[in-house]
Amino acid sequence: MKRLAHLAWRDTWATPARLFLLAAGVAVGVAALALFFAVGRGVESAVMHRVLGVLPDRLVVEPSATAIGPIKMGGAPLDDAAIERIRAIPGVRGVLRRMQIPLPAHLTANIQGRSFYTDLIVEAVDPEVVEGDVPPGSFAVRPLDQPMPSVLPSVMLDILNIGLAVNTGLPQMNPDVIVGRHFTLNLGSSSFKIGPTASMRSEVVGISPRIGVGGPAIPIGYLPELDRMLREKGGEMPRLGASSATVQLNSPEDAPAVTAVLKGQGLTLPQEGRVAQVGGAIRAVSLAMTLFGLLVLAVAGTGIGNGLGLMVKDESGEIGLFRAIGASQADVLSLYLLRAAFVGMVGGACGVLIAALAAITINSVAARALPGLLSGDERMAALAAADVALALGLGMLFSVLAGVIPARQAARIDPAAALRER
Amino acid sequence: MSQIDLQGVTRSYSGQVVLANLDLTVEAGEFVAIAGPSGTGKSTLLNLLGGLDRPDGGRVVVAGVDLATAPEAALDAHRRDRVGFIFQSFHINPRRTALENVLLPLVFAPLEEDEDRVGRARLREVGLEALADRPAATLSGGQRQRVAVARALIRKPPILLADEPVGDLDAATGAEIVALLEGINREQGVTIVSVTHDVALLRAASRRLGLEQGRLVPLPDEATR
Repeated sequence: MKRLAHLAWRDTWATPARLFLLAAGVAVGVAALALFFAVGRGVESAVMHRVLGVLPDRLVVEPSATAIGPIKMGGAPLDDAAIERIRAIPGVRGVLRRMQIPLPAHLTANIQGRSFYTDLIVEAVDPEVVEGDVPPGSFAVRPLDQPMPSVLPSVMLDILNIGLAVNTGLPQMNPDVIVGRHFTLNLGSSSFKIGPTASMRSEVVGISPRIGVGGPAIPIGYLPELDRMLREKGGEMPRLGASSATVQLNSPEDAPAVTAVLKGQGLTLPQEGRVAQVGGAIRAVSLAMTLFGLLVLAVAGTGIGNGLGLMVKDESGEIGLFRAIGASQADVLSLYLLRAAFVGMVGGACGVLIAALAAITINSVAARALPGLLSGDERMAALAAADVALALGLGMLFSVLAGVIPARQAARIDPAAALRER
Repeated sequence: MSQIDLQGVTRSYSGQVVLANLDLTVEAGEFVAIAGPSGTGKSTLLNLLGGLDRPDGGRVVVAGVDLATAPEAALDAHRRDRVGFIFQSFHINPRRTALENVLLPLVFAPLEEDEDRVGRARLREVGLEALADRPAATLSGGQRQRVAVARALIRKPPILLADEPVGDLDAATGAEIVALLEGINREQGVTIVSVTHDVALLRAASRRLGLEQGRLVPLPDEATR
């Protein structure tokens, strides 16, 4: 077979113009498939990550809420025992807490010379909750003469840009502008309720979709200091439990089993429904695009079949010679199937190259046109090795299938007649 | 037992009888030349001997195997191991080098020896070793036919089947090929069955036959003058 493959490879390249003509269809089909896979993967990742705040190896859980008619009543916060029970589930690497502080709060800031005031809800979180959204080490407890780090929820940018900026004339904000800004966080009073207040200067170190939408998140390590400040003013920090927890998994494959146990512990996974809906919609669009790519490959396959058929007719004398020097019908069949496979391989390689160039272009355009959707190493078209391998495999499969009829014709050529005709 | 033994062989195409109850025996080491007008079935006879075609009736026994009834795999093995073909139009691929053309049969049936060395040795036997790595497209007609002879002999088959081997060559070049075949027959003991119109080739053969009305008859000496 190795010798046949070598002969087929050489004969495939013997007429490069014909090869590339045949391979062009496969190239377009494979490029379309690889690109559709890449865009589907990229968009799903971007939407899940940036819009829903979902990472594949993390699950967010909350205490079960009770609904009485239209009124939804939150469950009791997760205490230390509940957190430990989650930690003990096989497949769980760690549990990160998000603690909503049940005290009135507001922030004051000065933006471009204008005073800014807003009521909000403060969360204290384990630093790993926002890992990846902030520079490493920036969301940690600092010496008290330095500002406390805080992270703003992604949705707050929208509120600032769509709501406040329109009505107040404030400039449009993007993460680059917000990060590094300072504000004063006042815990204990708001425009609705005045009480003992702990005030701290804070620096925005990042934007994250993985924290509560009501306001900034601060590291849990600042709670003792805030409690001390409140006590000095005659107040105190209430006893806190986790309003939600982010469950870190050993691997994304553990998600189904861990989800089942979490539900068994009476916890809810608020993102589950949204993820299923959004993921389903994205996958439906990806499937439609994949079917289109397969259709292109099928059309290309027809072209290859016709091209190989003409080639067999053209090379009947050589096929007759092969038979005269000892080739069996199976040898000839294999030879032409290999040539079909090589056409698919060359076309597929060209297709992957085209897809890679298109992906670079799409990512470049998306980075300029949709700066809010993509950040860091995220790509709109995420060309993965598995997708490339699948597209290449499908390209070769369609080529080989298209080559079956011409290869059978070649194998059935009457060698005596073929040699006579030459 | 004769190396080639045909008895009562008939073959028709589209109702037209080409070979009619034909008999032929050839001993090992013979050089048999068969002449006859075009369309009388000379090439058909060679195809039957080479296992490229089967008769409608009769026996085609070559080296003890009846090719009329042998399974397809036995015919493949027969073509690989027992016969070598030479054609009028050479059937040399111009895109391959001389050596690559010579080694082509080994794609389907490898040798245990160093194939490159064997291929060059065959080319040396036909006087073309110096041109082994030249593309066949750059070779003359006579050189291409020598390459075809080397290819036919690559696995050292005991029988060489030549279909008008000098038909496309000028007289001088044709004479060189005839001398080459004569030498292969004499020195290597290879049995040669050739169909031809060429007088020089007929003269070189140890036995001359004519194909008339589907049967073989001895060719009178006048035919070689």
